[in-house]
Amino acid sequence: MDRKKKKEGNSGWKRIWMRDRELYAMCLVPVIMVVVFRYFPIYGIVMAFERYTPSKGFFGSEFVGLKYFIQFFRDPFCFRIIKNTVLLSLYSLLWTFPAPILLALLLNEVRCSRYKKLVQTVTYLPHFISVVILIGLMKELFSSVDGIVNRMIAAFGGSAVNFFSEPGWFRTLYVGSSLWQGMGYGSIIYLAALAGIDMEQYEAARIDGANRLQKILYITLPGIMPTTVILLIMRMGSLFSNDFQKILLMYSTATYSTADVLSTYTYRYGLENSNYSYAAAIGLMLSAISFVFVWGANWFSKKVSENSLW
Amino acid sequence: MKRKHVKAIALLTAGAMALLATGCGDAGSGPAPESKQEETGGEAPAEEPGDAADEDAAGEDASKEDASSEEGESAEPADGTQAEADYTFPLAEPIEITALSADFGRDKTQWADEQYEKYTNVKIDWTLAPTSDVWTVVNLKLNSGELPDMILVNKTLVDQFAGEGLFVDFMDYLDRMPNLRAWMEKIPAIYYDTVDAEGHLYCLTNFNTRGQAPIMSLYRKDIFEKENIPVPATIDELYDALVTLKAKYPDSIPISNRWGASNLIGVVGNLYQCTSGFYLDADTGNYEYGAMTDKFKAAIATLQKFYAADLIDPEFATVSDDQYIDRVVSGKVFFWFGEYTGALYTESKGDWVGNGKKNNPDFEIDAMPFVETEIGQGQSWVQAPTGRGAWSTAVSAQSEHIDEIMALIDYQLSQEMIDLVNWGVEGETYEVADGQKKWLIEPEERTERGLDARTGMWIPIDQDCYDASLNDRSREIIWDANARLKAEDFGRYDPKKAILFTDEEQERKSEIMTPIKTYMEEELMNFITGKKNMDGDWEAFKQQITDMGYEEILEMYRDKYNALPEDQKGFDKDLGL
Amino acid sequence: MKMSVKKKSIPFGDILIYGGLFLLMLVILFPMIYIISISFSDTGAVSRGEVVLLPVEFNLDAYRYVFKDARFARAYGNSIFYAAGSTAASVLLTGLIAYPLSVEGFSGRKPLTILLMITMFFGGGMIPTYMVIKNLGLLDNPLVMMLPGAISAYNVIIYRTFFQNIPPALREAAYIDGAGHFKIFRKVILPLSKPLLATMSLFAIVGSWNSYFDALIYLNDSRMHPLSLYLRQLIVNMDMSSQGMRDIMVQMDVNPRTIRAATMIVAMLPIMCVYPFLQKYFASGVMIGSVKG
Repeated sequence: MDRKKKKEGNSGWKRIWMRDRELYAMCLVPVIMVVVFRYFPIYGIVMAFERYTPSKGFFGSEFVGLKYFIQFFRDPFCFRIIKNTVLLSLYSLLWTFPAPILLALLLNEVRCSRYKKLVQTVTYLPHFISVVILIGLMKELFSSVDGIVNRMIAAFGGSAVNFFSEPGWFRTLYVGSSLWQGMGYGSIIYLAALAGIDMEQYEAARIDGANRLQKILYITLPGIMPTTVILLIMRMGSLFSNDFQKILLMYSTATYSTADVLSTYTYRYGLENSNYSYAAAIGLMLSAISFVFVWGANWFSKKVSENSLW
Repeated sequence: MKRKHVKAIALLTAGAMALLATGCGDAGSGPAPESKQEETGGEAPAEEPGDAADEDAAGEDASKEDASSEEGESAEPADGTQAEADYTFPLAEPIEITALSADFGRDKTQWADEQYEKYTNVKIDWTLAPTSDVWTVVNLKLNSGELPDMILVNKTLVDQFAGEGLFVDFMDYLDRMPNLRAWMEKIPAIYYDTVDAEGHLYCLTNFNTRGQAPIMSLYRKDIFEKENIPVPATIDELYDALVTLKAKYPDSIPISNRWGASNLIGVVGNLYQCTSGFYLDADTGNYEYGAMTDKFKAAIATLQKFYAADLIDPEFATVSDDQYIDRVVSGKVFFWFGEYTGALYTESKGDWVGNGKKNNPDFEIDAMPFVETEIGQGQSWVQAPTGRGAWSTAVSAQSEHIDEIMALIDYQLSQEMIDLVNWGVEGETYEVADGQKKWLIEPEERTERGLDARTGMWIPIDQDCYDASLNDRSREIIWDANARLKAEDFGRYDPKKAILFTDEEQERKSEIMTPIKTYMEEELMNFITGKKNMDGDWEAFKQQITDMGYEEILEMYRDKYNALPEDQKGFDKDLGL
Repeated sequence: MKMSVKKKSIPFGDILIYGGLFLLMLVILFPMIYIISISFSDTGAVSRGEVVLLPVEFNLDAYRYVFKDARFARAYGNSIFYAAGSTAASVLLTGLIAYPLSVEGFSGRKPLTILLMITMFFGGGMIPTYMVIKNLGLLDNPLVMMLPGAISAYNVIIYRTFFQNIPPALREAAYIDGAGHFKIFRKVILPLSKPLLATMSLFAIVGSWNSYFDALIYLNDSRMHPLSLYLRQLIVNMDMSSQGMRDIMVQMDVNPRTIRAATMIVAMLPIMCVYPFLQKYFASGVMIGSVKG
């Protein structure tokens, strides 16, 4: 915008305004709302750099600079919890990102629309199960005392596995339950994207003699690629967040070595005294890192495709 | 340090009293209530608050009885002459105040609340938050500076907002609150739990009319009797008994656990007279860090031994509540180191025995004394009358009705209000027979009428009333335990005065102890499951904790404890029983 | 897997697909049926582990407990109201800001995108947001359940992506016919975005229906509470790490599994019914015949 201004002076501005004024009018109200509800409160970030006491408020509390960030990196468990957080997110990403896409593609191939609707409705139900009930259910199923899974293992001659107390099983259980819960609900957006693909392309392909697999590869996948790429880039921003409540219910001191992540550790940190500043500092740091990841993914995407966030 | 500290508080309080006394402008309430106030406030140098109270007991009790025998009068007759400080309930003019609390399962529109309003002529405009989230809401309200007249708080929160002038200091009004003074005499912890370093009482902890021993060791009476095993008296006898039973019942899980590994470790730790964290040790007379003591090592060694013999639930660290109850009711569990006895026979609390009998008609669970260990008498957590400030009431300093509210809070502590919200109205919901109160209505109606002592703002729960709602057998067990408590010394008591930390100290504590706690809890699992041994590995474990710097925090605890005045050291053994 | 001649036999691929989906449904249905059965069973039977797949000692006690209050009906109505309002607000406002972003050469594109991206990662936190909302006078106002969360950067990006995928030829055609941006948005983009709007409406409805946190802190008046908050009162989920907490919990009456299951089912039901209505928008072929030549 500045460049245009320098080159063309007043008339440039006017032209832009004339051309775009409707667009500006359209986004005026939303922009105001974003500014009010997101930017007005942003002063709270300062809490990460001070020793916040509620009585002194945000601007009266003592400024301590990077103290909490340093404190975090001096913590003996700092490396482990970062590792656990990232690994958990990556495994999650690996499995729970493609699965909804796969499901959507499969559903797309179903010609009987009643069957399709039935499957859609059933697979989307688990999303609504509360996490407390889900974990309760899982503990029952995988119990080493009388759970069905262990009984089947025994039937095949194996020995009982104490699933919830084995650090090695934690990630599998976490990702598995996320998959079970989220696959159907997550496929909805891809179904919507699929609906937007021009049917004539399929017609043309059929005439050209393409088989099912070729149709998928050359029409369907490219058709949902923009949506997929965008969602993937944005997913990069969640590398440091995990489902805190779920982990809290699933983990125990037996599985700390794989299950203890940033959010749970920070939670225990603040359990005795509500140290808001420490939590704020960690939160800020993670946000900044996530932002860098997204930026990186976006840059990469721009290089290899046409799709990017900005 | 000690004497200066105490003198300062005494002077401060005296000064405050003097100010108020003059402020209220009553010649009549000059020296007498003031000096009573000082002493019951507990600042009298080197005297137990109880002693001071005894001296004044005659005069104080007499006036208290006068106060409570009259319908709703909260003023002290001795103070005949004052003007504004006096309120009788129901108030002459109705007032409306705002309050914030947890909902505890109901909104405050039941019959009990209507009665409350009738008796006090105070309409409370409630903001109720779900019990699971109430602290988030309270936190927010305090941070945003908008307080209702009365607000639910806890000690930690109040400490953080100290010195801001947000809350009314109960000490300022103590001379006008005879019921509160009387309760403080009976249960000194009411004062000690929430008083801060400068002697201010910015919030009032919740309390029940007395404490009790709700947790006992339990065992499957029918199984033990069937196999002719006598009730074990020592830990070794227990081990042998359970090994025998496990051999006969291979599918059983003799010992299970809920609420995570820390619960089992805590209960067994108590048995060995220690805990895993910082605690006041009766033998050494100062604070210790559990993990480093020999007592705790013995506790873990025992757990390791039991686990190795397959006596402990392999899933003890992860069992959910539902799974736990399943195991109990289906008959798999034979012994509990420490469990709430109320759940055994009372339907509303789970009725374990009743449900167990449906599977197996012989099913029977009974309480037994705590086993002796090589350390000595097994102990258990007992429930003190007060909540140690974890649930407290505070009054906003901005309120327009401070005087009335303070009088209301005092009135809430009177016998007839306690009776009203616990039992209801005599003749309608309960009757008095042989000096004992008995229900006239069924449990469903009690719930409907809201008779759960959650009316108003933390009116004391009448422990007798709560016990009356239990099944006869459950109540028998608890009262039996209460009676035996002093004689058998199995109570694990809290320190009289909790150690207070400043903000910086709290931060340092979090910084050092969170990693230590994480490390410790993980390693304890390894020890219990036998992955590590109790010799070389335990020494390495202790060394690691030392290297992580726990001693700094332990010194903090010890120094602060040493700095306490003598009357605040030691244990709070006063359950009001 | 060639489909050479029109055979009567079912292609192998179809068997795989239909079969696979069927297995998936089973894996999902069994636990769901189990939970439903628990909600209809007797508490004692559940404790004794008698419920395997079907209800044991069928009774409606759990549901009666959930429905017992007039509060329930009011909370239900509130939730419907908030869901409708917040969905309308969200879809409308997000669309209005996403469309200009999808227009090539829009001068405000970069600054607007940056404005949104920052909000995706950085925020002031609960307390400052609360103060802003309080100062706007939105406490205890139903609008607080609809407006503050209406626009999320994540959604804006999704809308924008969808809008961008609509063939520019269509826009240009309308432009040549003399339509301004507003008209293009209304007459071209929106009708062709039915799958997107259906999806995002569903997400918005679900999100609003399940959310309780905003209501918790912004709505003091319990008569305005949504269902999610009411149900949270029935199930106490406190941190059990301290003995004092356990003591309070044990003093209160037991939290039967049947009630937990019933509250979940009750909360799920309306949403389950919404989905079938929206499914028809996912049918392919929305754009048949739209681009000529």
